[in-house]
Amino acid sequence: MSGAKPILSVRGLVKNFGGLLATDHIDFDLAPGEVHAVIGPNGAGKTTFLSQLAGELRPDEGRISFGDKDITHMPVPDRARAGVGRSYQISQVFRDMTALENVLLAVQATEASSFSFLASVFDDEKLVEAARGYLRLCGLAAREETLVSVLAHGEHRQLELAMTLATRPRVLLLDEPMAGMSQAESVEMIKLLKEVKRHYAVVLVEHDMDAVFSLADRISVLVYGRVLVTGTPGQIRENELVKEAYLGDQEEE
Amino acid sequence: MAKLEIRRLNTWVAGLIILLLAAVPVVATAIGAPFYIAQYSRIMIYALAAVGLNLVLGFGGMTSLGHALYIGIGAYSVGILEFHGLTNGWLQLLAALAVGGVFALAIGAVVVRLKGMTFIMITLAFAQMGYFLAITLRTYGGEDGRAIGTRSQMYLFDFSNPIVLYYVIFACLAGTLWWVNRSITSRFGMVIRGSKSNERRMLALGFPTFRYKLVAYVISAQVCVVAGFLLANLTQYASPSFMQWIVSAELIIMVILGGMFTVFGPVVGALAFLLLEEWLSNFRSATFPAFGELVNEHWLAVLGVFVIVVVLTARNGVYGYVCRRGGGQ
Repeated sequence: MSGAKPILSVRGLVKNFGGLLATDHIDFDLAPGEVHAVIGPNGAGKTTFLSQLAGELRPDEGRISFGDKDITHMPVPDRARAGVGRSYQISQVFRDMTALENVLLAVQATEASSFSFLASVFDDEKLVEAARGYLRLCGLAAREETLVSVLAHGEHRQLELAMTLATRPRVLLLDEPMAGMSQAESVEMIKLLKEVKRHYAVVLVEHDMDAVFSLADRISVLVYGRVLVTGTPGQIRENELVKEAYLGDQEEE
Repeated sequence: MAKLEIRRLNTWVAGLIILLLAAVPVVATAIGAPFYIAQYSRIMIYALAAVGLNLVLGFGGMTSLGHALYIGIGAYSVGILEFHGLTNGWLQLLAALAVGGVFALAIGAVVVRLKGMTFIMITLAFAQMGYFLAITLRTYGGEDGRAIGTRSQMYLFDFSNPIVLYYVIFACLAGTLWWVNRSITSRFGMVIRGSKSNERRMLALGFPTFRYKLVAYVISAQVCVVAGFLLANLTQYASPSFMQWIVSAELIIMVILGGMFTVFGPVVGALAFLLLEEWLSNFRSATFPAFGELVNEHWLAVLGVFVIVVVLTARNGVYGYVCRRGGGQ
């Protein structure tokens, strides 16, 4: 995998929060079709890293390339339109709208412009059908008309993913898609992500090690804002440094 | 989102109120009480402004405490041009919309990026600048404002006929309501509502929210410009008091009172607010005349109690209450 030209490439990325080096000269590659997981103990800077990839945080140094384009300073909406789709650790959904409306907006985001003032989106078969498709894919077909604020936590996670997919990204940045899910929900989500990963390149930040080792093609371990090591799941499992810094900790818990 | 849809109680209520408003000139003429025409003309003008404000307030989540500025721009466009002998109403309206558009674009470009209290304060500051600017315009009456001798000449519509003016105002209100009702489920409306609900997510989905919010702000302002244009023709006056911050605040109260997540709520709010104002300030009590006078003098305090009760009991205003009872969301 690592032989192919990367679709997303990061060189020398630095983010400094008033003396705290949250991102410390990170180099990172994502090959087309690959799931590259980022793991590490709490506070290692995983979400900070992801936010810089998505554009919500501006790096102090370094360079992010997407395909042949330098996107280091590209604003968030432009990046999303270029094909970088992000899901959030804490679901960022439209709580006062129905599940269908949430995904409709995501589908609508792929259109050139939304300066249309009269025609109802609900009369647009193509739009509605596309939105329904993503809801179905993410297991929410029965919840279409439900107000999002009354959906269960696991369903918010599913909706989060449906919305991200609906923007038709080329690269998916998933921030703990399993966060706060029950065992059963996690199993369902892993199944769904296995389906999804066939069509996208994915950067996966996740605490659930079962998920990481069953989904990732490559894993980078982040400690104190640094990439400790990058390797295949097999290599990471056997790596002494990683055991010490991270996995060991977890087994003791 | 309380859209107007057939088979819902709230739609029937809204329809009934529209019909009643349409019948006002007929009834007023029949019972020989023409002052009702002017009274309801004024109510509908404020309703129009409130519906416009609600576009950014209710649907866009932008609490503007400065929309009176645009009422002022509409009114002064009539007043100033008439002073210079230009009485063509269509040209006056065009000028009003042009000036309103420039102001709204410039102010909007600043405020639309802001949130919460800062948004409120900056919109207030801009409106106050307009207010004090109007006061310094000595030529056009300064602090007192200026009586407008000749109403706008609209050719097809004779504004000096109160019934014609009434139905023009009615048509503006009805047309705006129709459009707002359509637009909240249009692509544009979805983007505005999404930006209010979760702007961070909107950006992450790829929406450049700034330009959509700016356009919503400009449209909302222009509705108030039209309201101001009509107000000048109704009162035959252009006064700085039209842009007092109190007017902006009253518009907000109307929206909240009626129900700010509804299309029709601001109309109900304007009706409730202005009719209560009228009733309380003329309140007579046969048994306790002193009590009557107390109410007349402090009608705002009584109205305040009413607003508090409504906000505490019906979270979405008087009309929002009807929506819920009628099976709306």
